[in-house]
Amino acid sequence: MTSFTFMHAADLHLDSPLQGLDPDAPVERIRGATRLALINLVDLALEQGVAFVVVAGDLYDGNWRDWRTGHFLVEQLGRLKRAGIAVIAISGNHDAEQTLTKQLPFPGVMLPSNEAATHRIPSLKVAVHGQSYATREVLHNMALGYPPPVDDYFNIGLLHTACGSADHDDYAPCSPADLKAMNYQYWALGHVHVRAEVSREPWIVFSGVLQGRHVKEQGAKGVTMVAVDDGKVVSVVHEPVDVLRWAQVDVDVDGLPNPAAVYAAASSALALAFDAAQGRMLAVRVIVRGATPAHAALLRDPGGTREAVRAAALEVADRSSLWIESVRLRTWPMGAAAGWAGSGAPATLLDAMKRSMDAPPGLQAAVADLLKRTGGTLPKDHPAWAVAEGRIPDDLAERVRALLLGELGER
Amino acid sequence: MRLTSLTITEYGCFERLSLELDPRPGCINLVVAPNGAGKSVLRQALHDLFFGIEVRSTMNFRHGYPNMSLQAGAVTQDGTPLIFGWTRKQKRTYAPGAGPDAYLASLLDQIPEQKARLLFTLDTAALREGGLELAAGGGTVGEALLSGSGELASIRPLRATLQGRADQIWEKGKPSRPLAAAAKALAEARSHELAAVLVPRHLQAAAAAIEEHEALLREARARHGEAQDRMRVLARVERAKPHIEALDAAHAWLAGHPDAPVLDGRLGEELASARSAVVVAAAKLADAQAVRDRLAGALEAVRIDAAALDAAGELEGLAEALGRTEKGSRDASGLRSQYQEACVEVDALLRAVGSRLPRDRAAELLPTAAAAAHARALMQQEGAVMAEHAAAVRRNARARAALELLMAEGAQAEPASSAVELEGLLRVIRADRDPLKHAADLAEASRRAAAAAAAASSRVPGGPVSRQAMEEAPIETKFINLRETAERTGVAAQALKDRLEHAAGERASWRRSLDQLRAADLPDDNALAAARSKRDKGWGLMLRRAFPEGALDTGAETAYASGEPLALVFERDLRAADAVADRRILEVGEVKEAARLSQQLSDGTAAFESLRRSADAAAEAAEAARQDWAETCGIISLTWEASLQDVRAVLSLRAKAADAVHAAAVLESEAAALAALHGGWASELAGLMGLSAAAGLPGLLARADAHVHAADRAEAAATLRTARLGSAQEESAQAEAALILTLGELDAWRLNWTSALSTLGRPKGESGAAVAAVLDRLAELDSKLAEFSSLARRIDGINQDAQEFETTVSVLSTRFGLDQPADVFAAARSLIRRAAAAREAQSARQQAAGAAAAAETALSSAQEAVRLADLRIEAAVAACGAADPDEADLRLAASRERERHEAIRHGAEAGLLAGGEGFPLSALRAEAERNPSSEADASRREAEEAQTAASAAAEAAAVTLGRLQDKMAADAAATFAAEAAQDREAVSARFSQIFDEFLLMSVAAGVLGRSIDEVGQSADASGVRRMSEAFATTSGGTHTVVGGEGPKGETMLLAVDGRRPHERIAVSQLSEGLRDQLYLALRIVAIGEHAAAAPCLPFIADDILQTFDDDRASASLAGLLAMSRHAQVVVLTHHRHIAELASRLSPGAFNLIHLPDVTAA
Repeated sequence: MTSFTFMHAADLHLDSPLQGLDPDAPVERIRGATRLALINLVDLALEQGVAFVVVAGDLYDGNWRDWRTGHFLVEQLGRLKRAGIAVIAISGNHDAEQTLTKQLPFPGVMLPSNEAATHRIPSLKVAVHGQSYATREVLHNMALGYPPPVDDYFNIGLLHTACGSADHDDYAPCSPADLKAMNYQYWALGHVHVRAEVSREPWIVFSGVLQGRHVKEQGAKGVTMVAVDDGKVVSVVHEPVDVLRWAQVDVDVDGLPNPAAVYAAASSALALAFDAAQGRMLAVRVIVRGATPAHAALLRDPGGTREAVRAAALEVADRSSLWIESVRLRTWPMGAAAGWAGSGAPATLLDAMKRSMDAPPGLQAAVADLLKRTGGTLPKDHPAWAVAEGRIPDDLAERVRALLLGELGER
Repeated sequence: MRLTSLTITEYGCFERLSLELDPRPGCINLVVAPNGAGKSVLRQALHDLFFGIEVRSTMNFRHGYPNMSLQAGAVTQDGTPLIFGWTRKQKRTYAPGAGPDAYLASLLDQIPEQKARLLFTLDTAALREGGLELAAGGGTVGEALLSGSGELASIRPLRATLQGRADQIWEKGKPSRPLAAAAKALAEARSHELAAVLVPRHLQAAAAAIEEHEALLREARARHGEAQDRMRVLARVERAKPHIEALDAAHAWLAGHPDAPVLDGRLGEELASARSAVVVAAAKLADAQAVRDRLAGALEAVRIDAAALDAAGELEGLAEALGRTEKGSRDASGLRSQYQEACVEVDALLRAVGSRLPRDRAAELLPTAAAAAHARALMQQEGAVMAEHAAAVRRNARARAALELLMAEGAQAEPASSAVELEGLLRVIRADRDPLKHAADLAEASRRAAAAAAAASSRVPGGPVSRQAMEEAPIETKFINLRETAERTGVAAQALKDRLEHAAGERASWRRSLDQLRAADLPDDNALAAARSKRDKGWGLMLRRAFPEGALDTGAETAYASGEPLALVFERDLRAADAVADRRILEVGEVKEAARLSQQLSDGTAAFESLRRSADAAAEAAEAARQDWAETCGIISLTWEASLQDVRAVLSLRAKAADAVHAAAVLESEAAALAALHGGWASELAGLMGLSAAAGLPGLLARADAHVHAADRAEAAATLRTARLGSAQEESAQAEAALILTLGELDAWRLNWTSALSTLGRPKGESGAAVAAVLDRLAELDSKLAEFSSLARRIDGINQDAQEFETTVSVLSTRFGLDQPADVFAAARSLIRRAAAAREAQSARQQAAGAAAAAETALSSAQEAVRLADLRIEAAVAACGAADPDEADLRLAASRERERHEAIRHGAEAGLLAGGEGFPLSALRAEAERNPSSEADASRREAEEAQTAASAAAEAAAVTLGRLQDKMAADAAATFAAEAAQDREAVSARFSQIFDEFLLMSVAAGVLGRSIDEVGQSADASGVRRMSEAFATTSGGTHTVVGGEGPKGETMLLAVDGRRPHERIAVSQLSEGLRDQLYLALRIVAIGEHAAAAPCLPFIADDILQTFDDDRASASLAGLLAMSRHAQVVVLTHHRHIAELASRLSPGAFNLIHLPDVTAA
C-alpha cells in the first residue's frame, strides 16, 4: 500500500463574527478572521502536498445571507481542486440551515444526506464514509447506519457528532464504542470545537474549530494532519491555522500595594501569554484576582481600570497584536479573605446586605426596557437578564459586595 | 485601653505638661481650662499619642520641633501597665511580639485613624452636625444606629457617589450618556446588518445583464475576426505572388537546357585548389634544396677537444671542490681562535666546581637532567614546607588557648533549668484567647444577659415561661391556633348565618310569587286533566248511547249529569275542557313559572334546612372555640377584644424573654465552667512554680511568664555556650591535625633532600643555595662542552677537504699530461675552462647536424606535394567527364547555371510554403488570380474598415460589461453582511461592558440604601431599648425613644415625651437641644456596642456641654458617666460651673484637672 498524508478539518464556521471585541479593537484585523484561517488551511494543504482533505461539517455558520460567503468557500476549495487535491465533506447542523448553499457548486465531494455513502479514491486505496445533515437537529445515532469498511482500503469515517461531549448539543449521539465497532482506521469528527483525541486505537479525533470566535474558544485552533503508511496511521499532528487567538489571563495581585503595581503585574502576565501566541494577534480576558490594598481604587472606576490594563498591554505589544477583550475585577480588601469585614457601621451594613440582594424595583424596569430596545443581543450570561427579572446574579452580587467592602473600608 | 498619665513636652503651647488621669471605669476625667489654655492642643495631643506626630505638625508654633514629644502611661483591659510615646523624629513600627508596640498595633488595627476620629471624639460642632444629620435623615432606626457611630455622614455620600457614577453611565432622558449612546449604536449596527443582506435576486439580475453584454462582446469579436481573416488572405496573396512568378521562370530555364550536367559543385573548387597546390609545392622544393647545401658547409667547420670532453664530468666536480676548499681555508683561522677560547672557559668552569679532571673528561661531572630537576624542585619546596609548619604551630597554640578559656567559662556558668512543662501549660491556657479577658467578657456578658432576661421578663404579662417548657409544650402555638380557630369558626358561622338569612329571604320571595300565580287560578296540569276526564267520561256515556251494546248505565249517567240532560252536560264539559286547554295555550308562561317556582320552593326548603343545620353547627363550634380561647387566654392576660396581632406581640415578648432567660442561664453556666477551669489552671501553675494558688490566675500567669522568660534566657545562653565550646574543640582538633600533617611533610622533604645530594655527589648537609650555584656552573659547563666539540669537528672537516682537493688536481694534471702544479687552485681553474670549451663545440655540431636532417626531410616533402597536386588535377578533370582541364571548366559552368535555377525553384516553393499558411500551390495560385493586384488596395481598405467597426463595437460592449461587473462588485462590497455582523458584535461588546458597569454602580447604590433600612429593621427591641435608656439619661429622664412602623413599613425611631406618653414625635421635630442629647445618647450606645466586640480608645469630649443649661449638662454628664464603664472618658471644658455640676452629681466619679493658664504665663 502507499504512503500519504491527508488533512482533517471541521467547523469552519465561515464568516461567523468574533464576539466580545468592542469597536476600539483592531477590527480591520478581526474582520474576516475565519476567512483568513480558511486561506491558511488551503495554503497549508498546498505546501504539505496532502493527498486529500476531509471536512467534518459546519462549513458555514448558519444561514448566511451574502453570496460572497459562499463564493469565498468555493474560491478557496477551488484552489485545492485545481491543484488536484480532492475535498470530501459532509454538512453539519449549521450547514443544514443553509438554503443558498445548494445553489452553488461544491468544488469537491459533498456526501449525501439521505443515507450514509462511501467515496473511494482507488489510487490511494482510501474509502471515506459519511453522511450529511438533512436538518439542523439530528437526534439519532448516524454512525450505526454507516457502511462496513472496504477490504484492503484505508477507511475514514466522517461524522458530525457530539460523541458524548456535554458542552455541545447532543446531535447524532453516539459513543466511542459505537465508532470503534465500525472497524474504520480513522474517524474524522466535527461539531465539538475543542480539539480532542477521543481514541488512538483506532484514531477518533475532533480537529476542533478552525478559528476561535470568543473567549471560551481559547488556545491554538486549526486542522489535524494525518500521515498514513501501509494502511496504518503513523502520525497525527495538530497544525494551527488561526490568525487570532483567545486567552484568559489571571493576574495574581495578592498583596500588591497600589494600582501601579497591579498594572505592572498585568503587563508581566500579558507578556507571557503574548509569547505563547507565537506572533498571532491575541485577544485576552484579564481576571485581576487577589487581596490588595488597591482594591477600592480599582473597583471605584472599572472603566478606568480596564483602560489602564489596556495601557499595560500596549507596553507588551501594539493594539493590533494584543487586545484586551475585557477586564474582570475579582479583588477584595486586605484581610477580607480571612473573613474580616471591618467593624462598626461597615460590618453592620455588609451583614445587612446579605438580606438586601434584590434588584432595586426602579432599576429592574429600566433594565428590562433597555434590553427590549436592544433586541436581546446581549450574551445570555450577562447580569442584565437576571436584573430585568428582579434578581441579582451571584457574580454581580459578589462584585457589588466587593465594591462596597472596599469603599466602606476606606471611609 | 485607659490612660493613667500624659506628659507633653514642647508641643503646641505647652513647654511641659504632666497630667495624672484616672483609669477607673465609672470615672470621668474632667479637664477644666479657660479659653486659650490649650484644650485643642490637648485634644490633638491625645490623638497624636496614638497615631503619631505628623512630620509637619502644626504644634511647633511655640517651641519648634527639636524636643517635641508625647509620653503616656496606660493600662490595658486586663490591667497590664504600658508606657509608650512619640517624638517627632521617631518612626514607630509595630512589630509582632510582646510589648506595648504589639499591643498598640493590634488595637489600632481594629480602630483605624478615621474610625477613631468618628467614634471616640466629639466636639460641639460634631454634636450639632450629628443632630442635624439625624433630623435630615429618614428617621429610621438603621440611620440612627449608623449616625451614632458617626459614620452616616460618610455612608450617605458614598451612596450618592455610587448613584452619581451610575447616572453618569445612564440616566433616563439623557441620550448622550454612554450607555444610551451605546444602545443607539447597537440599534444602528443591527439595522445596518439587516440592510447588509444581499438579496440573491439583485445579483441574479446583475448577472443576467452581464451575460447579455458578454454575448454582444462575443458577436463584435466574431465580426472583428472575419475582417481579420480577409486581411490575412490579402496579405497571403501579396506574399505568394512573387514566389509563383519565380517558380514559373525557373521551370522555363530548366526545360530549355536539358543537357546541362549535374556536377558536384565542389569539383570546381577541387580543381582550383589542386592547381594552387602545384605552384606552392614547387616553391617549397627550391627553398629546401638551398638550405640543405648551406648546412652541409657549416658542419664541416666544427672541431672538438675529445679528451676534455671525456673528463668533463670530473672537472665539473672539481669546480665544486674548488669553491668549498677556498671557503674552508678562509674560515679556518677564525675557528681555531674560537676553539682556543672555549678550552680556556671549560678549564675555568672545572676549577669553579672544584674538579681536577682533564678537559676531555669534564662530561663525567655533569648530573642527569632528572636529578638536577629533582634537586631544584626540592629547593623550591623547602620554603613553603617550613612556612606551613610554622603557621600550623601558631594556629594550634591559639586554638588550644581558646578552648581552655571556654572550658573555664563553662565551669563557672550556672546550670540551666527547664520550664517546658510550664510553657506547655501556658500554651494550653492561651491557646484560644486571653483567658482573663475571656473570663471578664463572659462575666460581663452573663451580667448583661441576666439583666436582659429580667427586663424581658418584666415586660411579659403573667411572666415568661421557661424555654424548656415552651419547647416541651408548644403552648404558644396553641394560643395562636386556638385564637385562629376561634376566629375562623366565628367567621364561618357568621357566613353560614348570612347565607341562611339570604336563603330564607329567597324562599319567602318564591313563595309570594307562587301564591300570586296560584291566586290567578291558572289552569295547571291537574285542572286540565280533571276537565278532560270529565269530558271523556261524558263522551263515553254519549258513545254508549249512540252504539248501545247492552243496557244503558243509567246510574253512571245520573252520576255524571246529576239529572240534567246528558248531552247538555257533555257539551258543557266538552266546552269547559276546550276552554281549559285554550287558557293553557294562552297562559303557558305563567303556568311554567308557577311549576318552576313550586319546584324551586320545594328544593329551597330542603337546602334551607340543611343550611340551617350547618349554621347551627358552626355557631356551636364558634362558641366552643371562643370558650376554649377564653379558658386559655387567661394565662396571657388578654381579653377577646385584643387583636390577633396583639396576641402575637405578647407571645413574641414571651418567646424573647424565655430566650433571654435561657441565654443568661447558658452564659452563667459557661462562666462557672470557665471559673472552674481557671481554678484548675491556677493550681497547676502554682504546683509547677512551687507557689501558692491563692495568688490567683492573673498573678500566677504573670509569674509564669517571667519564669518561662528567665528559663528561656538561661537555656539560650547554655545552648550558645555549648555551641561555642563544640566549635572551639573542633577548631583545636583541626589545628592539631594540621600540625601533625606539616611535620610529616617536613620529614619527607628532608629525606628527599639527602637522597638528592647523594645523587648529585654533593656533600651531606650541603645547603640548597650552594647546591643551586654548583648546578648553575655545571649547566654552563655542559653548554661550553657542546660548543667545544662542535668547533673541533668543523676544523677537522676543513683540513680534510683541502687534502682531498689537492690530490684530485694532481691526478687530473697527470691525466692531461701536465706538470704537477705549483698553484693547485690555478691549475684547477685551467682544467675547468678546457672542459667547458669542449662541451660548447659538441653542442654546436649536434645543432648543425639536426638542421641538415630537417632540410633533407623538407626537400622530400616538397617533391611529394608536387606529385600529389598533379594527381588531384587529373582526378578532377576525370570527374567532370572532360578530357582536359579547359573542357572541365566549361562543364562546370553549365552545371552551376542549372543549380542556380533549381535553387530559385526551391526558394519559391519554400516561400509559398512559409507565406501560404499551408495552402496548396493550386489554391494559392487561384487565390492570387481572384485577387488581382489592381484590386488589392481597395480590398484591404474595405477589410480594415470592417475590422475597425467590429473593434469599436467590442470595446463598447467590454466597457459596458466592465461597468456592470464593477457595479456588482461594488454592490457586493457595500453589502458585506459578514462585516456588518462583525461590526454589530463589536458594538454589542461595548454595550455589554458599559451595561455591566452601570449595573454594578446602580445595584451597589440601591443595595447600600436598602441595607441601611435593613439595619434598622434588624435592630431588635433591645437595641431600641438601649437607645431609649441612653436618651432617658441624657435628657434627664424627660424623653425616651421607641420603634414604630414607617409609611413604607420601615422601622422608625420616634421620641416619647414622658409628660405625654401616648404621643410619638419624629426625630426631625425634636428641638435642637433634644436632638443633640439624642445624638449623644446614640454615641453612648455605639461605643457600648463597640466595646462588646473590641477594646476602646479614650473618648474625648471637647466642650460639648457649652450650649446646655445646667439640667441638660447634668444629664449629659450622667450619660458620659454611663459611657465611662465602656471607655475612658476625658471631658474638656472651659466652664468652671461644669465642675461644680459634676461635684454635685457624683462627687467621687470625677477626676478634676485644672490646666494652667499658659496665656497668662
